[in-house]
Amino acid sequence: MLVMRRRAGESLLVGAGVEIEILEITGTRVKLGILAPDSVLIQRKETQLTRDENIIAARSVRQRSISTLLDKLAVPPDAPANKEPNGPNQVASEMYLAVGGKNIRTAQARPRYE
Amino acid sequence: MWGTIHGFGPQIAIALGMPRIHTKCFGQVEYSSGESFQFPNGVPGFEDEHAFVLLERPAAHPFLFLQSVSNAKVCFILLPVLAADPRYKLRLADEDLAALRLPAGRQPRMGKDLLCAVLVCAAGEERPEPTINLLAPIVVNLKHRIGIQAIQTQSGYPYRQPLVPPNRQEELAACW
Repeated sequence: MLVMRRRAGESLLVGAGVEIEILEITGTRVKLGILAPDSVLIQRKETQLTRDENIIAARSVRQRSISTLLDKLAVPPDAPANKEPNGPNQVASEMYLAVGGKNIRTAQARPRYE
Repeated sequence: MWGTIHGFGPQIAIALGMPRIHTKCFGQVEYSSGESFQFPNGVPGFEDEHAFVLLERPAAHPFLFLQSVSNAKVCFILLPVLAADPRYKLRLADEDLAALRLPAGRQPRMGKDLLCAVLVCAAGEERPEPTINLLAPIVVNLKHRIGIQAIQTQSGYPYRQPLVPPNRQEELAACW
């Protein structure tokens, strides 16, 4: 990674058409001004990460993957966790507290969507 | 049995002549147009999807499904963020508050009128274990029926957090 020091009011150039100016530095934040052709997409990195993650998440939604997701988190009624309230598996029933205080183990019917 | 979310209570659309949407995984669902949620900017990657319905199913509790009204292929699995992390701190920037039509200068409380939920990526070919995106929760003003994806820029929250922490995966596997 190229590292350079710049002060407020100074600029740097990226390639032929992109100029980034340091406009203001306050505390931990830097205000940047960016000049670039319309064809250059400029966005926060988090937005790009979120876009990529959203696309993968949307693609992951399938009947089978939903069943697997619920299977994975729902403990079947006859699981050892239910029989040994003080056993090592007890945490399984307490981990995912939903809004309203309901517990994910209400999903113990292990539904299939087929 | 399906319900679309109206506030936080399930409401089942049974009246005749209601519009129907084709859902990705659950066939057709009827809803009344007042039950959809507007996402004026869509969400990153799906900028053209401006209307969604929230679907819930008791057997899938606490997961919810955010289904695009206009595009059956676009559906997300949601998990209320407090179910994933009871200590989650939501911070909305001024522009997010304005987009949600919430008063400026004050952080809203998650709850009755404000749904905050993370997107779940189910396990599959691309992801061996399910993950959740704590960096960019979906935030919905249930009163005004308007939603955004609010990226938590300064939070340090991960965008690819295992839904089940690795140590818990072993314990769950032992249950079987």
